[in-house]
Amino acid sequence: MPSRRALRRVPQVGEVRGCRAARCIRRAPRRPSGAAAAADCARVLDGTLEIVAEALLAPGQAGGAALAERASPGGMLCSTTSTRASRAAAAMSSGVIRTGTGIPPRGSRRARPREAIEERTLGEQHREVGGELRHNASIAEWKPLPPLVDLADRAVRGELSHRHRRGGRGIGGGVLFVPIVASFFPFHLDFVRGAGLVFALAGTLAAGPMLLRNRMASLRLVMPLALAGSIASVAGAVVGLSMPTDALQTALGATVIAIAVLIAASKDAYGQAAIESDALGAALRMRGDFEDPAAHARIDWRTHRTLAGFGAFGAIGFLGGLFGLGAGFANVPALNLLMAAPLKVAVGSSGLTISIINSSAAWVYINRGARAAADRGAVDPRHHARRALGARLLRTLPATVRRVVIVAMLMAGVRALLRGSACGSRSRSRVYARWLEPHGAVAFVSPSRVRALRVWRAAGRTCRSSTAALWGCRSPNTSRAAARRSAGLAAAVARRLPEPRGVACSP
Amino acid sequence: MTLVCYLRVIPLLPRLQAAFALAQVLVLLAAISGLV
Repeated sequence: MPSRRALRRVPQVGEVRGCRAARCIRRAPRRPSGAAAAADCARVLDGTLEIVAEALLAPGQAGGAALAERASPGGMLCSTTSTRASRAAAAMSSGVIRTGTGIPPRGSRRARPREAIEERTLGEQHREVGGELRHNASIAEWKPLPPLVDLADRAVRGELSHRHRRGGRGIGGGVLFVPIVASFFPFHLDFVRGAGLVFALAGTLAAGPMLLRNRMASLRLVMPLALAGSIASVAGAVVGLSMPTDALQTALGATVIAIAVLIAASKDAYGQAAIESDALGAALRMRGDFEDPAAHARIDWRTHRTLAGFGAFGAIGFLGGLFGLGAGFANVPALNLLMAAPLKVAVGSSGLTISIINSSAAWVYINRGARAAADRGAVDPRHHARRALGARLLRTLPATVRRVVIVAMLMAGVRALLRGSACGSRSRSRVYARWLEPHGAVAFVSPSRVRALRVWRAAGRTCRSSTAALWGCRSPNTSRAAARRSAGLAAAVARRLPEPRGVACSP
Repeated sequence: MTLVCYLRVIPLLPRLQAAFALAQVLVLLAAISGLV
């Protein structure tokens, strides 16, 4: 026999945009507070509301929509809920946003009609695309576009705002991957650098065709510069693989700190003044034109200081190959500030340049055994999901993300400096690598990993191939059997090697 | 795939740019073959 309290709430099932949604109708609205009543009512239907919200809205908005709907079952949105949640809830139900006076005074009846202070119809808030999406943006027109495609498309069409350009100018995942992963995760630096190159390569390849189609990237501009960068990046990769790891780690730390300072102090875009090509630029036909939808004009551009550009791209390519960085942070200023290419052409051509330069340097790392980088960096769908998340963050909070990026890079740089200056602990991995190489495996095993394997074995556990492969011990042959052999080899090394003496610092 | 893309693009480029692209192909081939 249901209680009298339970009978007061009768769930009603209806159709909301094709989704079945249950809604609570209260027969005896005698609760003193609208907010308390709403909370009581929504307690029954939390799960249903969340399902409806997730079906209709973006994942980040769904929770807020359900919360707002719980807080105000009658459609009146309380001031205590966030504006975004309010709009999301309104989109779920009526298509009209109402912002009201908030929670009624204690003792008032919930059934009493309340007036909305402001009423807005969704779909009328057409803001500038790429402008600041704040509280007035309409979510009714939100479409679940793939964020990376969306952002690249908007960049190509020149519809990104000033904040987006400043926040995302060449600062992609490629420049963040190596410092952060090498500083805060226990992977060997050689392995991380190879993965970083493939990581940056995978990110820029996707946008290449669209950039070329919209003439935001110029092959005539890119090919000569990319050749210089490509040769230098191969040289950088060879030099980096022959350097002691601790010295490389120290240099990486210093470089990352310098990059963070460069990003923080970066100026606005170069003004579009009329320039004349120099002789080399004219000979290489480094000029073009594109339609700028933001300015509603056709921009005729050309470059100068071509020789200095070659030098800059050579240096950028060397650093990129040496540290495995995607060098968009430097390509865009070199093209825009040094060679006076328009910013949109600089951004588009930078992506194309990275895809050309990194493809050569990545092969050096792959040939030296960092094949797992190619396995994971390019084809891992989680990588694309992370990029999509980054693109969405960049769209909503570009200035904040930029600050976070700078702080993260500074922290990673300091950490890399500290790790690089640790007394000789890194170079021991080279010793272990030499132990493994006669057995046919190229090892990227850090001392901490070998020590962990030893502890693991002492605990009586078997070394599984997947875990050992994940830890960076990988044969040049990428087959599963070879990975298993490498894993066994790593376990054998962990068993046979004595604990190094006289080493005070742990990696 | 990259090489195929280069071979498709090279005939469309001016002569000097095509030479750069060809040099880029050689660099890529050298990197792939493990000569460096």
